[in-house]
Amino acid sequence: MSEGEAAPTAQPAALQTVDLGLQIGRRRVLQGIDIAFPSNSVTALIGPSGCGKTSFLRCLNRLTELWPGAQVTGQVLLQGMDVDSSRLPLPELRRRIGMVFQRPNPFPGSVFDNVAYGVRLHRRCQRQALEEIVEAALHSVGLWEEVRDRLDEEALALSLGQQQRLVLARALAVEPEVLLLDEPASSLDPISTLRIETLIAELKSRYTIVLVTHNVQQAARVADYTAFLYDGRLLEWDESVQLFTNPRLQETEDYITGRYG
Amino acid sequence: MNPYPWRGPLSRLTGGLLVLLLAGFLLVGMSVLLGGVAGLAPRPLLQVELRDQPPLAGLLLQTEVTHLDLLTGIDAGRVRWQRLPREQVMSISEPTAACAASNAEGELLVQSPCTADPQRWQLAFPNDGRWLAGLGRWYDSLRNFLLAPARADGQGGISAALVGTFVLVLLMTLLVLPFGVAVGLYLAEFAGTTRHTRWLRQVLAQLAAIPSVVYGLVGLGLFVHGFGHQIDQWFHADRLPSPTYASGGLLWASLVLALLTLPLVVVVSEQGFRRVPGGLREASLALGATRSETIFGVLLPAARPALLTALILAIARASAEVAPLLLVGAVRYAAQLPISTEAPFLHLERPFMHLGYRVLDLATSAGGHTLAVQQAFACALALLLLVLALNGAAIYARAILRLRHEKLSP
Repeated sequence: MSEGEAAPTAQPAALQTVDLGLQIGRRRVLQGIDIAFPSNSVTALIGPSGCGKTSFLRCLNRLTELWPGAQVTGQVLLQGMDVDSSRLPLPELRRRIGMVFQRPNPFPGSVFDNVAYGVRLHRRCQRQALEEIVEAALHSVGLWEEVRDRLDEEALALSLGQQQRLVLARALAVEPEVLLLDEPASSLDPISTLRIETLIAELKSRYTIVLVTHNVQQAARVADYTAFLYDGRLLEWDESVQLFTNPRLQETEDYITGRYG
Repeated sequence: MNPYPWRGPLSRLTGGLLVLLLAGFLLVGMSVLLGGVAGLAPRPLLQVELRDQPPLAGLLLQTEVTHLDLLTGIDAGRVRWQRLPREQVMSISEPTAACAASNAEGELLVQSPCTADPQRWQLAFPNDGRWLAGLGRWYDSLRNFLLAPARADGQGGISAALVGTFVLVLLMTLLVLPFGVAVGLYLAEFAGTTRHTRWLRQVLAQLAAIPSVVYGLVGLGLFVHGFGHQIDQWFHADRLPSPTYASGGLLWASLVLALLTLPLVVVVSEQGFRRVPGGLREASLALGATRSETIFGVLLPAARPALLTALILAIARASAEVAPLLLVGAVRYAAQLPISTEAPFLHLERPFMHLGYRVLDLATSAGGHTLAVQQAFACALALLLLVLALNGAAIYARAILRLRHEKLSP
């Protein structure tokens, strides 16, 4: 453990990692990461490009398995249960840990089918019930009023900002517990970014949110806790107020004041 | 190295060649089109000015180096014609009414190209100046060309050949698409790039370069004589020694065509799957989809335009092939269509007629008969239109998909 790291909270953790490491081929991408994401809060992961933020996020829902030669060591615990255990099958794990990617990636198909995609995978339900779920999901991302008349239109016809919220609704529709957001606003304009940030603040009452961003201001605006990753290690992890006003490490201070990264 | 190879002088040359090639295609296409339309038109009545004789009006049957054959009339169902030596002929022109009348007692023969049945020959003046009547005769001629029953001597209408070609291409599509797409999917999604898959891709690329007649030979040896013989022994022993599946037929022909177009479908669909953005796969998996759910729920829908392209190319390639079909089932005359209105509706073992084969037959076996060559053009036109119709449907579907999927994508 590095010196700047300390558990900032006593709240129960929805998701936590124990000595998490990742190796791709011979390259060590992450090592010795111990962090806990408290329930119903937003934790931001910041750090310079290539420090392993996205890789870390992918370890949490086992998407690293898509990378050839990737090897995860240590543990990821979802509500205290190891994500690698056989009691937590992969589809169920990924249903409980939703993810939104950097670029909006709606599926080919209608707006409705996009949101219903995950629901259809995990349960059989009547059209009526499905419509209710889709409507609720679109409501919670504030997209319902904009697309209620365009549910049968191609999802790609929406604007980028709308697409990103649609993708978020798609993730919410399967009722996850944790949301992993991988730089969700980095390809959006300022207004869409603001909407996403507002949404994150709204959604944290229901979900545990892990937000990867390289926008320090964004982390300061929306996150309750912030963790600073540098070169595959967790350097500092604290309440945002504490970390941004009074960082313990010189590296953290350099990064948040824009001296490198 | 030239960093912009598409701007260099070499590419100007390539561009020029491409333009020339395109112009060539257009020229051939136009001539087939014109020839086809002309082949369908009724034969025009001509007047031949002769040395030392009164002029004759009639239909030009055949033009040879030494002589012309002129059809001058019909007597009680029998054709009257004259062979005119070249040195006698002064000129050929539009007939004057007087000449035509004197020559054939007011009526001269126009043969509709496809009915040789004397009772149904139509007596008319095709060039009498009334365009509506001319149009009517052109329509009759077209109707005969399309609908008259096929005849054992290679004449007759093309309906049977049209049906045969259509069913053949359809069956080929059903055979090649699922298999080719599955192989493409395997190569794009599962195989990775190991030495084996590189080897497999190389083999596939080489398969596309094998002359089609070789495929026909493989079909004859493997399918007809191998499988067909075995099938006959197991299931149709009662009819031996007359073959059921051990002779060329619809099934074997469509299998050969499927084999022929397989590399194309594999390569194009693999490219299609590779072009699906990786983000879509990950998004689907991150929602808890399994790999097969991702394939059926996201990959296949996203790759649909490419799969339709593969379909279009396969259809175009398959309908253009005649050489392999000669070996495995296309015939000059088939008494029965390969489809019927009674069960089993599809007769896979029957030989069939094919437009391409008909073109070949008309153009070569009729001994330079001008009528036959013109009919060959008409058949070629029909074949082109059939391919165009089949492709048009697929292109239309793809355009709709593109419009829905790609118009507004980032």
